[in-house]
Amino acid sequence: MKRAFSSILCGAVLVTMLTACSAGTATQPSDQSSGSESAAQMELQFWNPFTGDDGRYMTEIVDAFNKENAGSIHVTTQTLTSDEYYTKLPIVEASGTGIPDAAVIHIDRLPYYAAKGLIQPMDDPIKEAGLSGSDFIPATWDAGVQSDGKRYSIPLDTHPYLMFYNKKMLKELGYTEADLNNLTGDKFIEMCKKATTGTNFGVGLYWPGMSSAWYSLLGQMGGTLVDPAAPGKAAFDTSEGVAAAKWFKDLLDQGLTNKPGSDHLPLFKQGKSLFAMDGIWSSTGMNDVKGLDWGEMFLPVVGQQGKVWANSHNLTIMTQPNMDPAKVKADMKFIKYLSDHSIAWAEGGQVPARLDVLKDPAFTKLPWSFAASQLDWFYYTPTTTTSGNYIDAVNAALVDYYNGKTKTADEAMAKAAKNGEATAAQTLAGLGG
Amino acid sequence: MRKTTERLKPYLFILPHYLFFVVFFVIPAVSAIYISFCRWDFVSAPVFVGWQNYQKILLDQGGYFYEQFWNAFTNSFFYVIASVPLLVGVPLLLAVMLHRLHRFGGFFQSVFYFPYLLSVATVVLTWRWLLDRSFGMVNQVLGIDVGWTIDQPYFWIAVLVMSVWWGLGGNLVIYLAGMAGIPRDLYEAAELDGANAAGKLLHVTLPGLRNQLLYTTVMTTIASFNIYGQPLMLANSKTPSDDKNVLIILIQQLAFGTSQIAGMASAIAVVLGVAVMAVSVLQFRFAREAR
Repeated sequence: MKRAFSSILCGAVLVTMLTACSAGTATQPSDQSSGSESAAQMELQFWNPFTGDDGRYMTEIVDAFNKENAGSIHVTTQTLTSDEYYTKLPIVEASGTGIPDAAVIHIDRLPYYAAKGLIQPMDDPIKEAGLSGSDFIPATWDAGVQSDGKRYSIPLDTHPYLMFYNKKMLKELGYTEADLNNLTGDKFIEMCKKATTGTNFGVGLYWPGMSSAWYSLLGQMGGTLVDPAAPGKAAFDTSEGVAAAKWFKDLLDQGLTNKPGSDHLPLFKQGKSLFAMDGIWSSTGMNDVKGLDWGEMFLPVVGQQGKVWANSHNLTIMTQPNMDPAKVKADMKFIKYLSDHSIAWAEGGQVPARLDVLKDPAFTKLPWSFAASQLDWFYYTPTTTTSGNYIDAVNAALVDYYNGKTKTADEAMAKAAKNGEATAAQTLAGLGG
Repeated sequence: MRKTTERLKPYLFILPHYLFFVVFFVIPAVSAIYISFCRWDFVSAPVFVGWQNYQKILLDQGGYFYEQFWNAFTNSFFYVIASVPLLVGVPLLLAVMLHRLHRFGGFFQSVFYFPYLLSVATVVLTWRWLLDRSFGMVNQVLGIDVGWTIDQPYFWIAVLVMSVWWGLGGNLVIYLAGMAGIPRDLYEAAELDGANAAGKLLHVTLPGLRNQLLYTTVMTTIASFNIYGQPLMLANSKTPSDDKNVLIILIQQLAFGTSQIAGMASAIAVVLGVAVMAVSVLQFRFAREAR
């Protein structure tokens, strides 16, 4: 009796474990009630990496699309964490089955996917859908044109690096929000100095990952990361790159920032700093803190022109072993729908790429709506397959520079260039050679 | 006929696990060795390049991959040397002490074992908040200003303390189980011969735990060579600085980073595997000779 019972128990545990193992990635079917499956209903697979809080905004838009198109097109969404997303996407392509029809891809990854033929050129579908470059933010649209002159995506949104400020502390120091207009680097430093007393300090920085902040300043000073015509050579180890790196080190040395080893966002939320630099994606988290009177703006202008690092989610059509023109049409219909309704997506913490959506009253009441009047600030990494190699190399080199291991900014940039070129060589070898 | 079914039975029993073993270990391991001789980015077909990857990481002095590999290897190696004695010795001492506590032994065993049940993310994220330079409890309570997640040697001290706190439960229960199997008359005999507590430990407990000690030493060494989550999440950066990089992090960066250099990553993984096997063989040899 006991033996029979324990063997049943073992069997039950085994079965539970086996079924639990398959629940690895979160599959969120957008429409559970697919009772009516008319013969002509087209099934589309849509992949995205929106596992954070903002994921639900996307789910709402997809649900609305499914409702409007019930019977003709049905979209199922698959959401993966961004780490495994870019690993799984090329692998599923290589496997030949289960390839999604439409997928979100960051703009800086497009060159690689286009070069490998993993995504489809979209110039014609875009024209047929009635969209064109004049509908989108120019910088964002232009950054999506690949080296062969073709477009492989349309931008859904853009998410820049920016700066949060504490309104209460601003007032206490005797400033008004008007002082933040056209903020120059010098005025910024002056404000930080005033804010640094005892436990408070001027600006919080994310020391373990300063590449976005650095890249913003590189753009402001007129520097470039890499020349797409020579992707194997770093172009940032110049006076601009050095100056951009050094500017933040000077802030650290003058004691105007949080010390490396402390988390800058919690400190800002606790009201300990006047400013905090981070990405727009941290905006929605600011509302979680009761009593924090906050605002956001772009970085101070340290160089000749205002620029901030930005990335962009782009919508693409993935390459299938057998491309079906009817499916491509349905994909484009879905993609256009997402673009038309991107105001709902913007509320999750994005700047919509569509110019008409930027004018939507629902957007103007968001804290990041200021970006709509500063569209020329968005500064993307150059459209080439090796940009990511250089950004990673700079990120690593800056960590050592800001914690004192590397003594000068010149050394840091030289090291970043050398290491970036080594990994870039591997990327290029995998593509061309 | 009956004899053949009798002989087949053991194989049938291990068949399910053996299938898992082949599918999830043998096939991937053989593939990894093959990939280490190729250049591959997961998308296109692997391109055979012979010994090039191994050359780049082991011999190409001054090259990026050479420097990264040897840097990560040194870090992993020193971490093994520091952590294995602690993870083998501390639970042993605790086990000896707990063995004598008849009343509260069970309670304290649970207390020491509990962290072992936590996932690595839980452990590191909790400790990272405790170790935050500005508002972390450690700095506040001790009244110091130490960058635990940035400066050396504090970073590795933090990783060691965290890892020992987390991992000692596993070895602890192994030792306790082993000690329960040591006959009491051996202790009594030792007492009659005039042994004190230290003597009993050295001459009865340790020899009695010989198998368990060998097992925990080998397994802990392998686990320490494979350390990944703690330095990565404590450094809180997708590109940890050189002094914090370890082999598994390097392998993951190369294979799944911006440019997917799977061939080089596999080569590093193969070298790591060979190194770990060599160390384990040495440990077994040493244990056998010490008999």
